[in-house]
Amino acid sequence: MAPPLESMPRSVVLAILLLVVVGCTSPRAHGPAADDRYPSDYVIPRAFYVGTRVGSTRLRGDFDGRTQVVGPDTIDVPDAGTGAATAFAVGYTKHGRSIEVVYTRANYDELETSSVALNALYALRANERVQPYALVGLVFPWATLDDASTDGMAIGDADLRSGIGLQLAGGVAWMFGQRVALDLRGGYLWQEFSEAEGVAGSSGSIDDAVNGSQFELSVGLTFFRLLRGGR
Amino acid sequence: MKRALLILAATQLTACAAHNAHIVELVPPDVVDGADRVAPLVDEAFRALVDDGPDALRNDEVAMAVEIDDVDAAFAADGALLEREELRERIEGQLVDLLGDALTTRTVDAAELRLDVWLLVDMGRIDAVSLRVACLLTHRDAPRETLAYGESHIETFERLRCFGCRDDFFGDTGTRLRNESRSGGVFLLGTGYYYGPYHNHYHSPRSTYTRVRN
Repeated sequence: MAPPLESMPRSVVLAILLLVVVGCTSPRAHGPAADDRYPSDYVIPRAFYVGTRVGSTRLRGDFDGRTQVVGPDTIDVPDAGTGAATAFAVGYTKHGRSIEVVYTRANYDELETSSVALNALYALRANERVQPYALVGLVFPWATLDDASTDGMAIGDADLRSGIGLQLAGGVAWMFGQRVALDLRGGYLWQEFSEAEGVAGSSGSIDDAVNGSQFELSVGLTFFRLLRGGR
Repeated sequence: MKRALLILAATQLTACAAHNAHIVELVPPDVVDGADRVAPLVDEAFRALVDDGPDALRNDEVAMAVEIDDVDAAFAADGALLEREELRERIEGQLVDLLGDALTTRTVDAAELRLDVWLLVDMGRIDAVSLRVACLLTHRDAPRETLAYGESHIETFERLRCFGCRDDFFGDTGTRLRNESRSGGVFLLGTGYYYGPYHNHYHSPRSTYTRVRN
């Protein structure tokens, strides 16, 4: 699957994401703020939160066992298949609009990926127990490929770095009062890596960056700390 | 010597066997029919230089320096492999013929003019070799000012290699050649050519990898 984002300059992608983030977090006269007229036990006016999530992830694109990165070292990009992901998030939410920073680590048979992401979330019904939500995020990934590189003699791990990605996701959250939420999320992440380093320690840029399409299904648990004056 | 070669071959096979995703081509790696392709490029680049500065070579002594990109490419001609130095001498000999009477000395200090010639080799693509010849004429007293410049087109041809053993990537992958001519922008900067921005411009400051789909 090759989304049109691949053909867009990074600066354009970054600008779009910043607009989305600003748009989702700025006060508005309509939308979820209207829920204030119907306060319920589930509305979170303002809060910081921390969350953790686990899930299953599938990485494709160049991670299908048919891609090599050739330069000072030869790097075989393995077939990633399906792996397990864990994540930790800290964020801020206000009337159903949230912004968060997330660290994610995913383990596959022959590689590990890590990322730091800046996500913006938008809950469709922020005053109800069940809150569908959408997410868009800017992701900065990196990866370690197990025993995937050789300099002709030695064989060892390889690293893919300088990654950037965009993720889109949707989910449903179940609120347990105003303090705790459990959610189910499905998402897609497109990412690319533009720098590699092989077993010989030769780091270099990659012509025509390595890209990966990642599908993820996860469950998360979030704890909110309400802020004063947030009604 | 045969013993040493056998050991070397066995080492390569070991590396291949341990690396299970290789596709090994059944042809010698890095052997390119380079020399036969170089001669027309030298001629083309020199003619372009003469067209750029038709009076520059008249009545002056010309010194010459020939440089070949330092990459691990083997150049084949007449059924044999040419070492880089042998190829350099071939190019120099061809230029001597082209220069004719203008080449009165090959001592750089004594000559009025200096002709620098580069055979640029791009092995950045895994399956191809690209060649370009570039010539630059400068005056001894003003080595940073270009009197004339000429370059050939880029000749690209297939490179055959062991796909997985990276035997042609132990060294530099050479100059990154682009289709557009560099004859304008580089020299209008007035920053010179030899030892300077020309090579810096083309060479990536860091080693570069290429993504390949099998």
